Amino acid sequence: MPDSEGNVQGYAPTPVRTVGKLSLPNVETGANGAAAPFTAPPGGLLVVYFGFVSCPDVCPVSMGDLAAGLKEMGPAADKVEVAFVSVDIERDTPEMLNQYLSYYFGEGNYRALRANDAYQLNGVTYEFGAQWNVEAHEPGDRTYVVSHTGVTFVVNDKGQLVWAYPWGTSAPDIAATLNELLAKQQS
Amino acid sequence: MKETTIGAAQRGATKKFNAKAIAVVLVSVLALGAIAAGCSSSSSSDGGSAGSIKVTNVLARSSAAAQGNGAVYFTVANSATLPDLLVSASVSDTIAKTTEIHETKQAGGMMSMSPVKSVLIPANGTVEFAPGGNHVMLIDLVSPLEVGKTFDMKLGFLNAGVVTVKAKVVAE
Repeated sequence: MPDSEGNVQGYAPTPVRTVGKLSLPNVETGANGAAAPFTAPPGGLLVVYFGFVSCPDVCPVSMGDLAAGLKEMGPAADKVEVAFVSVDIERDTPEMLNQYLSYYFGEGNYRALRANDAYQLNGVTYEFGAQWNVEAHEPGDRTYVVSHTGVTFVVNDKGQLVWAYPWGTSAPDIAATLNELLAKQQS
Repeated sequence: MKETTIGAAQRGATKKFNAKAIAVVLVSVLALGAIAAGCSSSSSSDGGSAGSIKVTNVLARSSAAAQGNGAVYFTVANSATLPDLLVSASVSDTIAKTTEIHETKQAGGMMSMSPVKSVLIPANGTVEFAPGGNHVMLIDLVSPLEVGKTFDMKLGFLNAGVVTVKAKVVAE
């Protein structure tokens, strides 16, 4: 979708990938959360981000810009849900994920997704085309480096991956992109 | 105050007339002049300067309590005809337990971050420490960074010496 300067922010993955059949435990209500499928509510969108709580640079900026973009959308943002998928299941506890996501999106306005193990997480990131890596470390070492995809994904109510926008997309561009995708969904 | 130990470059910055350190970067009258000027540093509400180095627009993103870490962004301008190196960064241990200079790199759509020993500030050049690139990482924040909060940060340059700046926490 073009931004104010006419630059395209993001792309529609082709061929269309269906991720709605995938799910991960939603720990929003605690450690033994029910599996939440990667599908938006009817007529809505699901914004999916792969990151980790202690990330100091990329994740906070992406989450802050997304939160600002949703604010800019006004009431239309009610149709958009945010799913944060932890790629650091060793350090990210359900409590930390909830505190972190409440900070950006308000209590209850998100899905805090945390796989039970790396195998389960890989099953999801493979289908999205997202990459992540946890640096090899000794047990108990808490200072390891985590790398991950900077892209943010958008899923529609049919569970189709309809858009991916790059790291650095501004809040107004996020709002414009989501509004356009919402309009497409309803037509 | 607690400074990160990052090897010879930083030791050189602390002992400003350490001959080895000067040899590492530049041996010239101009460099010595810059070191001398570095002894008189100034700080203002957002930026500061020492010798030929000027640091402006010092901002930190607000952070959620669970995050535990933070990042500080700023602009460094070097008006000297010789390059300089940012070799150290520190904040009070009432702000964060450890401070490191970091670089975020993007390769194949994947973002990864790693500590670096130094960042080159080219002669007559400007380097942006910005999201997705270089930044000063605050590790183990004592309390979350709240919008409007300010705190002092010391940046050590090999030639120009120490610049003390005031970082301001912003929402985005």
